[in-house]
Amino acid sequence: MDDVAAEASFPIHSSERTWGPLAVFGNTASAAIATWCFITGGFVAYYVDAGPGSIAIIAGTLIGVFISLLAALPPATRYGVEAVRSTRPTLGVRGSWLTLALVLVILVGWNSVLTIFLGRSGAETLHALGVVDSPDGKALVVAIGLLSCAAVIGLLWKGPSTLRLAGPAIAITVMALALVMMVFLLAEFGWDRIFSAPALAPLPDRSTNYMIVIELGIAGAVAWWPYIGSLTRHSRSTRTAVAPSILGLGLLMGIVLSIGLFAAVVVPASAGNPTLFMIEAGGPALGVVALGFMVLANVGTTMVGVYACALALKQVRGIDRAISWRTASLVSILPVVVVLVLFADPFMDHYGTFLAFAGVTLGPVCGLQIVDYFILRRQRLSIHGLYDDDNPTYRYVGGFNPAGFVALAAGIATYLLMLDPVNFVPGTQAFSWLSATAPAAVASGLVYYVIMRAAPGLLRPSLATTASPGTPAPARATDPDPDSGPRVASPTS
Amino acid sequence: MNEDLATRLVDFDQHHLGDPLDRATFTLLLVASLILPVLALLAGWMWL
Repeated sequence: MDDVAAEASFPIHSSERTWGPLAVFGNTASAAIATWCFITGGFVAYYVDAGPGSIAIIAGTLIGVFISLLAALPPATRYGVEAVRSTRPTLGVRGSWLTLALVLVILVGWNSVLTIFLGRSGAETLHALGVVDSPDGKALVVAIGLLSCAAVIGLLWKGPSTLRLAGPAIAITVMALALVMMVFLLAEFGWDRIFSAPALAPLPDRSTNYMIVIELGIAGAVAWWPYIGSLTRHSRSTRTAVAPSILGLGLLMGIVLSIGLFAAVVVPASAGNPTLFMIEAGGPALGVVALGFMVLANVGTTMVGVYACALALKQVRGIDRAISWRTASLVSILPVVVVLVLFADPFMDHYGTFLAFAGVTLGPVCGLQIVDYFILRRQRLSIHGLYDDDNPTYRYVGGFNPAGFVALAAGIATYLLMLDPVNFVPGTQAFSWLSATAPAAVASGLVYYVIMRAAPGLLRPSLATTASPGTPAPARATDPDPDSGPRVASPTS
Repeated sequence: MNEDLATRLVDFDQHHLGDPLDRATFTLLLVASLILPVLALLAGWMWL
């Protein structure tokens, strides 16, 4: 593949894409499986017991994957573009800066969560193994976190092409270690004890408890939106990218979430992290398995996160020109180092709020992107409009698409109506049947469709403009720009 | 605009496009990540 294209976030030609199903699966699984699964799994245990809880969290994750894959994967695999760039048709050339800011905050946030969690649980594990005297030393937590940051930069130093091999290698190892953890849990506690243990602190209403778990799964999977665009644009085809992505981001993540759930219901003090009682019960051998899982899973996910962050950063024309791929990677990890060293405790205290922020904003982004790409544009975008800031195709009103912003606001308002994202308290009884992220995505898509249809001044120019002035448009019958060449039927039509 | 990018955009004809999401792949996505999970949720609700 042309590394210049991949590193500068240019559209990658289909002939340059080298990722087959294994690379897509490996990288999506590597991104999805990390110790945050234990945190969320532990959270699930408060509401529902292990049986229905594992069904709800796996199914919820898969539904979230449906929303985020449908929004981000088809434009990425067809045009070779990453997620932020693909929002130009919905929000406008300048409006897409909003998604850029959103993606940078979310990716830096996720990477910080992972690095701090690895530092803390790594210190606890080393203490349990007798390597260090105290698990509470901040210096040790910071040192482990910094080492993981250095490992991530080392993996990405030679460019994004490293991911093709590193992703599957990390994913396969992490899956094997997760299997050992699952077997340990079942052998140590048994099916009966795990599945008969009650939920830790359920709300009075059963359906609300159940839906909160489903919502956790949906919101967590929708947060993969920026990762999906960055990863799947390397895939050789759309067809071969879908199934590996469902398996990697949906099913495997759901299974590891269930490990956290099982651990939390049988040992509530673990909060979903089975590593410490694995060491107590199984000694150093299981301790090494636990430590290996934590290091590989978190470094693998942070690697993909930093890659996506660097790529998003290079969407800004000035930044793309000014800094190299390596500098972009370093700049992407720098805020993580600052959070790790200075703000680790307050940041982790607000982990739930951060997760909610991702759900509140990305669900609506997905909703309007699905409607725009499949229903309004029939899978056809203007590649010139996406990349040339002077091209009028997606400039709308001063560079902003008002329909996109109104729809986004409608989606966010719908989410807030359904659920208080900070305290996880439903705002209406309808939440118990509909969740919050799914109706937010539907509301934003619906509002976007109505406004774009009602205001033809917005839609028509973005369907009928070709290359930018001064840019020679390819005069071919197969021109991919919207006004020439056959439209592709929507798969739903 | 960056010269490399301008050339790349001009070259971006149908030969460089990836495949669209076809009906069969969409059906796979729909069944595996929406219909089956919803059915599983209904089963889980019975278990609750």
